[in-house]
Amino acid sequence: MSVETNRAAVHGFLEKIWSTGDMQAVDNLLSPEFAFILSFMRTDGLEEFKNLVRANRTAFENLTYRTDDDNIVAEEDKAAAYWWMSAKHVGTWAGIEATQKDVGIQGMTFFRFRDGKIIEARVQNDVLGLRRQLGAA
Amino acid sequence: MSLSPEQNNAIAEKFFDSVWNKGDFSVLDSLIAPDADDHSTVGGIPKTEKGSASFRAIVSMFRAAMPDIHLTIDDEVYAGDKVVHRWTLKGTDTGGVMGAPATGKELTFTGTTIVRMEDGKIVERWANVDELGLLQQLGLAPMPPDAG
Repeated sequence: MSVETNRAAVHGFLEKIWSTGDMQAVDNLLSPEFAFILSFMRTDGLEEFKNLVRANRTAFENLTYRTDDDNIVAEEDKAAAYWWMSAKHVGTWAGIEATQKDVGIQGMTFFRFRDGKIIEARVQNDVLGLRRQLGAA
Repeated sequence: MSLSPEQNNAIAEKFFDSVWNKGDFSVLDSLIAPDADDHSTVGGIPKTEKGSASFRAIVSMFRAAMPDIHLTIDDEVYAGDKVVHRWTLKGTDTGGVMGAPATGKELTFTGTTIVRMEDGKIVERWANVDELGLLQQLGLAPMPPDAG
């Protein structure tokens, strides 16, 4: 896989999958063994990941993840992106009922690629900040 | 003069190992540019400070609280003028972390750091840390239900 296709996959992951709920992009960009790993949970395989994306996009309206090429570091089998998230909290998330608040956090995701697809994404994000913005920490 | 990404990564790895694992703060002056932008998030509030003072204060606090603290770099990616490290910090809380009473527990938390390098020095740093995970281990934040 080339550095350029990796960059494009990172854009697609954040801008198509997470920001528009594009499930076709999940099938196109992610390996069937894709693991999505956060500090407090993980999903394994595409169905679990799609369910997570749907659930988060239901709890958070206009969920948008923004990055740009300046904030993506890419090699041939790995990449990392710094991103900014914004959304409106309209449904229950992590046990916190809808607050209707506008929220925004920053984070980084570390990607691994295999056979032209993303096989792993590890997220380091400001969950504490998000919980505080929702009044729950 | 700009160094190769591999050279930048080697400098960055040695820098973080020196500071975290050896308590060698002299490298803070030699490897962080005085007008470097240091971006971090503390208590869920993003902030940017100049130079090495913020990073020095954080490392000092943690090394005092956890004298056996050890940084392990779990993975890295580097290209152009940027180096990204995914890392784990582990140590025993004998001194009290972030002003909290000492718990005596072994604490483990993860983070991701990006540094931008120029002429072998760090000119910009972004650090994301699993603050919530750390607070949970200290008993200062609730454990989340299984959710995204």
